[in-house]
Amino acid sequence: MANIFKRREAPIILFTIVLFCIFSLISSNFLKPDNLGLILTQITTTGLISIGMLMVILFGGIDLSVGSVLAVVATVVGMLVNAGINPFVAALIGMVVGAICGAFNGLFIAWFNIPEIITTLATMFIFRGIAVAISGGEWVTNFPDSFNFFSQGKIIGIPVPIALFATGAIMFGYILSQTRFGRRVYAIGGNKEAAKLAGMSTRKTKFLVYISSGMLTSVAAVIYASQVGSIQASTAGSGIEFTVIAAVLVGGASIFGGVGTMLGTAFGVLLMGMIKNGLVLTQASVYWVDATTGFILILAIIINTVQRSRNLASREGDLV
Amino acid sequence: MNLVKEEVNTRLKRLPSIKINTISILVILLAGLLIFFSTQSPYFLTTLNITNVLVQVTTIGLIAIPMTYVIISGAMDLSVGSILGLSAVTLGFLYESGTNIWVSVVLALVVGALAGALNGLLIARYKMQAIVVTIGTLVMLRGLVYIITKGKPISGYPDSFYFLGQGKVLGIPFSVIVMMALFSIAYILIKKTRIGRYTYALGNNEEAVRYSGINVVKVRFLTFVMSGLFAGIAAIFYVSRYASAQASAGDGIELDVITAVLIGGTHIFGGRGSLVGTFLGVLIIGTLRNGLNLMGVSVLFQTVILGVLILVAVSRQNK
Repeated sequence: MANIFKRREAPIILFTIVLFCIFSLISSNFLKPDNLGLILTQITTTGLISIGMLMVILFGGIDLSVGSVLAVVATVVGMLVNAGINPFVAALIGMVVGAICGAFNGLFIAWFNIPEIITTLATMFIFRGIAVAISGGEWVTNFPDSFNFFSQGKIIGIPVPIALFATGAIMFGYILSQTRFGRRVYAIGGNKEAAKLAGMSTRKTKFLVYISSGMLTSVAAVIYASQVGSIQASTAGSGIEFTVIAAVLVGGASIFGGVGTMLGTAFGVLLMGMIKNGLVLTQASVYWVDATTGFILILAIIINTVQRSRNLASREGDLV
Repeated sequence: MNLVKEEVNTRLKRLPSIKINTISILVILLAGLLIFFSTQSPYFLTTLNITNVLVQVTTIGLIAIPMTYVIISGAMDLSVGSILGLSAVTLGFLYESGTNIWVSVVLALVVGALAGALNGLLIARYKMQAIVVTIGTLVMLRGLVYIITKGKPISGYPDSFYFLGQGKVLGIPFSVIVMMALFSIAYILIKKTRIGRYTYALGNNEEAVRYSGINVVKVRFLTFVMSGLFAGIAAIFYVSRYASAQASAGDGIELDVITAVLIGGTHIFGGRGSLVGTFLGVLIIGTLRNGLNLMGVSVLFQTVILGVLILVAVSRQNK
C-alpha cells in the first residue's frame, strides 16, 4: 500500500479522483454513463497526440506543431476519402503524411541542431499553411458513411477511438519501459552526455521519436476528421498542443527530461478531458477552458520545479 | 604563448567583421525586397505605403526591443501576444466602465508590466523553464482576455486618444517616433550600461555571472518586466490605431517578433545579438508582409514564409 503512494503518478491519480467526485457533486449530469462515454471518446484525440508528446518531453524537448500536423493529415485524409478512396487506405496514407511531417521536424532538430521550440514554432506555421493550400481554403466535408467507422464503429464492443487510444498507450507504454529504444529515450533525456558516451545515437533516437509522434498525431487526425465530420484547415486542431503539453506535464513528466510515464500521461489526459467536460456542464463560459489549461500548465511546472529541487537536495545529502 | 596571442588577435579581428557581415547581409536583403516589390506593384514605393509599413511595424518593433534583451540573456518569451491582448482589453474595459482614458492607459501599462513580472518571478526567482512558463501564461492570459470581453470588441474612445496611433508630428507618425526613440534608448542601455553588459553575460555564462557577484535574478527579472511593459505600450498604440480593443489582439504575434529578432542576427542560445540587427529584421518582416499583401498573397502563406525564414536564419547561426 505504501508503495502506491510513493509512485510518481500518485498525486495525479489522487487529483483525478478528487476532481471526479467534485464534478459529480456539482452537476447531476456528469455521472451519467452517456457523459462518461463522451469524455472517453473526446479524450482520444488529445490522448494519442500526448503519447508522442510524452516521448518528446522525455527528451527535454517540446513540440508546438502537433495541431498543424493534425490539420494537414485530417485535410489529406478527408479529401482522399471524398475522392472515393477506401477509408483504411486513406488512413494509411495519412499516417505516411504524418510520418513525413515528423521527419521534417526531426531533420531540423536532430541534424541541423535547431532548438525544438524554434523548429516546431516555425513548422507550426508552415504545416498550417500547407494544410490550407491543400484544401484551397475550403471546408472538407460530406464524408461517405464508411468513414464514420473511425468515430462510431466498434471492435469487440469497444468504440474504435477508445480502442485505438488504448492500443497506442499500451504499445508505447511497453516500448518505453521494456525495449532498448524506450530506455534510450529515458537515458538521453536524463543525461545526454552520458548517453552519448555510452555509445547511443541521440540523433537517430530523436529522429525516430519525431516520426512516431507524427504517426500518432495522424491517427488522432483520422479520428478527429471522422468525429467532427467537417474540416476547416485554418482552424482544425489549433491550440491542441497546449492541452496536450498540459496533460503530459500534469501527468508527472518533467520538462527537464528523463522523467515521466505512460500511466501518468494517460491520467493527465483524462484529467484535462474531465475539466473541459465539467466546465461545459457547469455552464461556465467556454473561455474558462483556456484559462484553466494555462493555469494547470503553470501549476504543473511549479510542482515539477519543486520536485526537482527536492530531488537534487536529497542527492546532495547522499554525497556529503 | 605566441600561438595564443595570434589566436586572440585573429579572433579580435574576426569579431567586428562578423558583425558588419550580418548587418550588411540584412541591408542587402532589405534592399532586394524593396526592389522586388516595387517591380511587382506600382503602389509599393509611394510615400503613403512606406508610411503605412512603418506604422504597421510599430507593434512588432516595440515588442522586438525587449525580446532582443530576453533572447540575448538566453531565455525566450512566448507570452507577448497574450500580454498585448490583456493590456488592450484592460484599457478598453476600464475606459468603458468610466475611468479617465489616460488613467486607463497607465493602468493598462501597469497590467502589462505585472504580467511580465509574473513571468519574471517564476523564471528568474524560481528558476523555471522560460519556454514552458511563457506557454502557460500565453494560454492562461488569452483565456482571461476572452473571459473579460466575452469575445466582444470594445470600441468608442475619445478623439485625443486616437492621436497616439493615428496622429503625426512634422509629417512623421507619432507611433513611429516613439518606436525609434525607444529603440535608441534601448540601444544605449544595452551598449553603455551595466545592465546591458550583464544581459550579454547572462546569455554567455550564467554561472560565471553569478560567481562574479552580480544579481542574476534581478537582471533576468527586469528583462521579463520590460517585455511585459513593452507589450503593454504596443497594445496602447494598437488600440488607438484600430480604434477598438479585440480579444484576439496580438494573437500569434510572437512568430513575427521572434523571427525579426532571429534574422536580425541575435543568437538563439543567447550571448550574441544586436538591436540594430533587430531593427532591420523588423523592417524586413514589415516590408515582406506589406509587399505580399499588395501581391494578394494570403496571410497564412505569409506565415509559411516567416516560418521558413526562422529556420534559415537559425541554421545559419550554427555554422
